[in-house]
Amino acid sequence: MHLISAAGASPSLVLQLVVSGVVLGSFYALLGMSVSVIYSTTKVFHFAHAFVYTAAAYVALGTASVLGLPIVLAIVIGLIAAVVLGVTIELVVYRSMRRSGASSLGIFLASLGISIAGPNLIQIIFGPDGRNLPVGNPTLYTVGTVTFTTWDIVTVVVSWVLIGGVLAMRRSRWGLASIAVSANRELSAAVGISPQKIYVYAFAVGSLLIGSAAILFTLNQAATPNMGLQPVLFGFIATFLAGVGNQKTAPLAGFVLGMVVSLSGIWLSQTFQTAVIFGLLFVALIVRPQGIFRKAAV
Amino acid sequence: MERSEKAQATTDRLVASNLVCGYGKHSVLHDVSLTVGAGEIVTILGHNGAGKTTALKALFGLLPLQSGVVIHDGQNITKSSTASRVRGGMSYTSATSAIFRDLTVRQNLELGAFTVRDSKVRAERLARIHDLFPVLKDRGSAVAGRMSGGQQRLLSIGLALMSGAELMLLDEPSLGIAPSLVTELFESIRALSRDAGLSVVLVEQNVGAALPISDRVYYLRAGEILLSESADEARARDDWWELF
Repeated sequence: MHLISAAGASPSLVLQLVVSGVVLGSFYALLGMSVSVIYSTTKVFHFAHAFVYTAAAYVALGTASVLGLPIVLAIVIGLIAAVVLGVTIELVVYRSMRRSGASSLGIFLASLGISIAGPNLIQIIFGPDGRNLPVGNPTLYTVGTVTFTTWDIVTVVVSWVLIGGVLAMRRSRWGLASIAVSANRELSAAVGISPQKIYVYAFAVGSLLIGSAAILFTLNQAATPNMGLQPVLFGFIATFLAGVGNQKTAPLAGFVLGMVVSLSGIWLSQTFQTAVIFGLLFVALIVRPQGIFRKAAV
Repeated sequence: MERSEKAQATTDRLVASNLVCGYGKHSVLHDVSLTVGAGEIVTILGHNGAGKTTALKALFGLLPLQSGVVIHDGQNITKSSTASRVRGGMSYTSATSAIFRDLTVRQNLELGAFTVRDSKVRAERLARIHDLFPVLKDRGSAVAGRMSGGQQRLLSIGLALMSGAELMLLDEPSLGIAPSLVTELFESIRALSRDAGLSVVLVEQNVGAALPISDRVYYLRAGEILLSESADEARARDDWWELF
């Protein structure tokens, strides 16, 4: 296999990579939105998000294949489990650590601990092998030379509907309150907002999004106990590319990330994908530490 | 004089007794008692580090009290949360971070009324603030942190008014704005107190600007109230600094 094939990229290959880029970009956009909702509001490096991701997939496939519940019901239960788990981590771990005056590094380490211990627990219960969500095979569509599946369409549609929903909620009372808390925590308390409640809200929404991402992933690929680390890392990268605290552009940064990774396939082998992502982050943090987009009003 | 007598004749809006408060084990306020009547402007004077800001934060519930009692409109609010104090008609405007700098002027004002559920009431208040400070209407979509210092101060007052505050705790409203605007700002605070019965606890370094609009003055030194007198008596002095 050629690692680098500069010339000879056929138009049909480019077109196929654009379509894959849209699918991958939509998925990364959802990851970026999910991490950004939590990070910009609470400023917690919520690495345990990786465990929430994994748990959503395993609860869904567990209830579907072990208990034999209908797949849609199993997915809903998986999503509920994600929300409950995310909120519980905030209430039980982060809140009590904040109360006792733990530093953000201390909270990050606790979160990292959960992101390691959680998947281990799943491995003990389900074993280390990949497991599939029993959804059957998708229909394959071919338009010209480009092919895509039902799951690709579902991924794109579900991702953007969820992102649109979160952005629309910013206009609501809760949305405005979370914007306020992320902009100035002390002042939002002074106008009568309870930052504690907003944190719970951010964890609930962020966990719902990451759970949905996990389900979308397992439509195509097998779930493994360590499946959560990479998507959460990519979500953080999208958040930092967008500029910390800029919730509106985090999904856009995620989309650009997915697109670039996919199109890099014109010149580079797939094995370089992760290198491309970290290279992008590295360059962006040096050249535009305030985020890759022009700063607009929040 | 006349005003302060009138204020004392009515019920006190705020009565704070023997407040002791500080950061960690180190106490900053040792024994602070003060009262504020309806429509009264009370100014706390004192040098840096005397505990003026701490006193305001303690009254607003941002710092837990070690001992002491706070009564607001006849209710004991010593243990109430900040949010419930806001609902009860109290507001606090910090010297350094009184507005949401990254949000627009309109978002700021909306957030000021966060505890107000009734959208009609919110709209009425917004209209009233736009009448009071037309610049906040004209620059509604401007990012708050990009406005001039004076406009940011007006916005901070607007934010407090949006909550329906009847008792404002104002920390150094003259900080960082042009001297000509200070007089204007203080005049509008005076007008709000006269016309709408607003009570104000003012912490101010700019004694010359604060005294003309004040009814009464407290001198705070090293966490203790040294003396309280009417603003007329304070104006007659030319040696405040001895009290600091």
